[in-house]
Amino acid sequence: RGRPDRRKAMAQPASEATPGGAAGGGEAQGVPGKGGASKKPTTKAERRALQEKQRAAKAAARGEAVGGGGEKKAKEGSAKGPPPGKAVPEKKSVPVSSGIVGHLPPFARQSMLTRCPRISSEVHPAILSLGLRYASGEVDGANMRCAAMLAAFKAAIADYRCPPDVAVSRDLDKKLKSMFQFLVECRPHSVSMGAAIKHLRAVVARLGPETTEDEAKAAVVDAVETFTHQRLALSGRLVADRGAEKIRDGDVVLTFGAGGDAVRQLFAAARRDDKRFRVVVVDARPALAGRALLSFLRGLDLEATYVLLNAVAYAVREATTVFVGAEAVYSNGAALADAGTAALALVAATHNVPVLVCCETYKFHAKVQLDSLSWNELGDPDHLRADDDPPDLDPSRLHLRFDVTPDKYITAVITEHGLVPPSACAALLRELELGTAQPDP
Amino acid sequence: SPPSPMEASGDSAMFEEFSGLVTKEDLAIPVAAIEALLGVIKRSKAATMHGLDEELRRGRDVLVAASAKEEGLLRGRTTMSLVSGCELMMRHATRTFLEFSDFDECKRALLVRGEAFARQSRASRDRIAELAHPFIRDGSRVLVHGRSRVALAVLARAAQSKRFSVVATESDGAAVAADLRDLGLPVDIIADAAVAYFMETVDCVLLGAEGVVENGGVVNKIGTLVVAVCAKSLDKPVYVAAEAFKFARIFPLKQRDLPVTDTLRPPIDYTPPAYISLLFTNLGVLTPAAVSDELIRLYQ
Repeated sequence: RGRPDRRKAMAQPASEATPGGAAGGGEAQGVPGKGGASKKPTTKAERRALQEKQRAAKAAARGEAVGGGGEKKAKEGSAKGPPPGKAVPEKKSVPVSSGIVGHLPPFARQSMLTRCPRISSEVHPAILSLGLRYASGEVDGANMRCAAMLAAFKAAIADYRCPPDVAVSRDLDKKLKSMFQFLVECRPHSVSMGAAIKHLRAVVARLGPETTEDEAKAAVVDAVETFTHQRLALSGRLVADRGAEKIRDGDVVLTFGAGGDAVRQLFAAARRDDKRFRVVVVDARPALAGRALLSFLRGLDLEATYVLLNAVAYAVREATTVFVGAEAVYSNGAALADAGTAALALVAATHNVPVLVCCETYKFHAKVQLDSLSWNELGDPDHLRADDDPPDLDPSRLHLRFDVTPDKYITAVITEHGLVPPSACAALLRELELGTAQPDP
Repeated sequence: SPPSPMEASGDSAMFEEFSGLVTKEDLAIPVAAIEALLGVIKRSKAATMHGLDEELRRGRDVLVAASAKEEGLLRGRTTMSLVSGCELMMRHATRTFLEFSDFDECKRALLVRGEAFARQSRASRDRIAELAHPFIRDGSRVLVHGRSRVALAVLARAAQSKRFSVVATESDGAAVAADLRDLGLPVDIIADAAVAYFMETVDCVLLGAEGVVENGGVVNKIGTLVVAVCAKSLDKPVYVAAEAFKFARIFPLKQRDLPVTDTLRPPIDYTPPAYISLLFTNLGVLTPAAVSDELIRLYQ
């Protein structure tokens, strides 16, 4: 009874920090929440007096809390401060995810850096700068994030020095893991980044105990370069070429949002083949990433149209094909992509327009995902504010960054191995893991 | 570049062998192609794997070009199954090349495997008939479209132990009726346009294929899609009997993706996998989804 009611405190993040000692809702309910040691007052006047005392105490404590810097969490208690060396985020600005997305990590508006300035000295500058660019959104998109991460790792490994009397492979693995962990704190990692780090750690794990520091570093750098060249660059080019084969003169091609690396290369390849076609960019708030794609298309001298997602049913009627990029493809053939892609795929499939997902096989994930909520990334809810929002209403905003397109709306996945129907994604993944699949030029 | 006299004589010898196999022995076109390419290997004077590979490619190109010109040879079909049969043979060859470093060993292995592949291909029609005939029940009515010899083999095998009747569409109807009369099966020939009318009276549809594509769909004689869509809407199973060498490495998204020269009178159409219940192949009875799994394995 003496402990504050944590659940109540956390459910009302916007309210002020309640001081330790009194339950947050105690007063409102008219039930004294103080410790059971004191005798409960019986008469009405006595209960009144107790209430007044609690109210005064609360006001005094609140005044103290505000004066002392509102950084203390209620559950720490008024006597204790936060443990030394560990900064605690200001509770007001850290919403806790609740409801149907309660299982997802909440969107953290403050970056890791401002929260924990001490860590910056331990992290390599390349990783530090990359983390900041992830958090700000400057580096975005599955391929971009993975390529940037690999480049940063390469730079960090160059400066890596193994401490004496420690097995290089073990220490190097720890280093890789900690660098990756830092990046994850800045922004939840993508499937592409996960695949790359898994590959690197596997390479490091295979290093024998006799490996020297230089050999180990060379092995990692070589692994980074090979992975970037084969699974990103070369595969991306093969995906683009195969996709470009599906575009004919006179086609109207739909795509969503920024499109992604593979889709852009696909349009460039089709343009190089002198194909005459039109692109319709379907875009959605809040990212409106399609605008960047528009300037890219203009650079290719391609005729482009721009519509928002709510006009997709109109735009799809003249479409020949839909090409979309993906963050990942799961083994049940479903595709994870920027939020809005699933809606486009659904409408296109209903109109018998083939939907082609461009995805290199390194982004294939062995897991199965059936819906868009079991895993997702929460974005900044403030991005959903509109200029004409009524000032007196403040609804909770849910910003989901991705959605999952079910396999039944996908006609084929374009990979470096060719076009694959969604039902065959599990088989392809199996072949890849067995090491028997080779890109088919 | 025009062929040298030696090359030209080799080409004509191969083509002779090929057409003989097709017309006299009634072999499926891809099977005949596989045997013809095997002949190329046997007669080959090449000393390197690269040379042999070149000769095989040349043989394939000659076969495709010459068959396209000779009308009667392909029995009104496209060169699709010929191309996929050759491709499969080339894949076999490439895989063998990668396995052996010594050329003579490689050539010997190639011949042995090639012969085995040819034998297996000859036997595939019978194997399919064995797998497929239980799906035709006693007292049922089967709709057929086109004149597939594999489908005929299935019907023949089923007729050995069951009584059933057949409905055939008119475009190949007369020929099909003649084939089936020898088996003692009652055949009704109907107009293509009447397929929807008669669909409620049939129990299943049996088709052949010129090609099976990467997503499990089939390419077959024009009119197949009509039959398949109609069957699906009336909940009748659609069965396709096709040998594994007909699996083609194409992924058509629409009808226009098919290799068709006369766009107003196309000889073939593409039936998407959603309209196909099962495929009877010499690799087993497969769902359309399983076809892509098999292809991934075959071509890796």
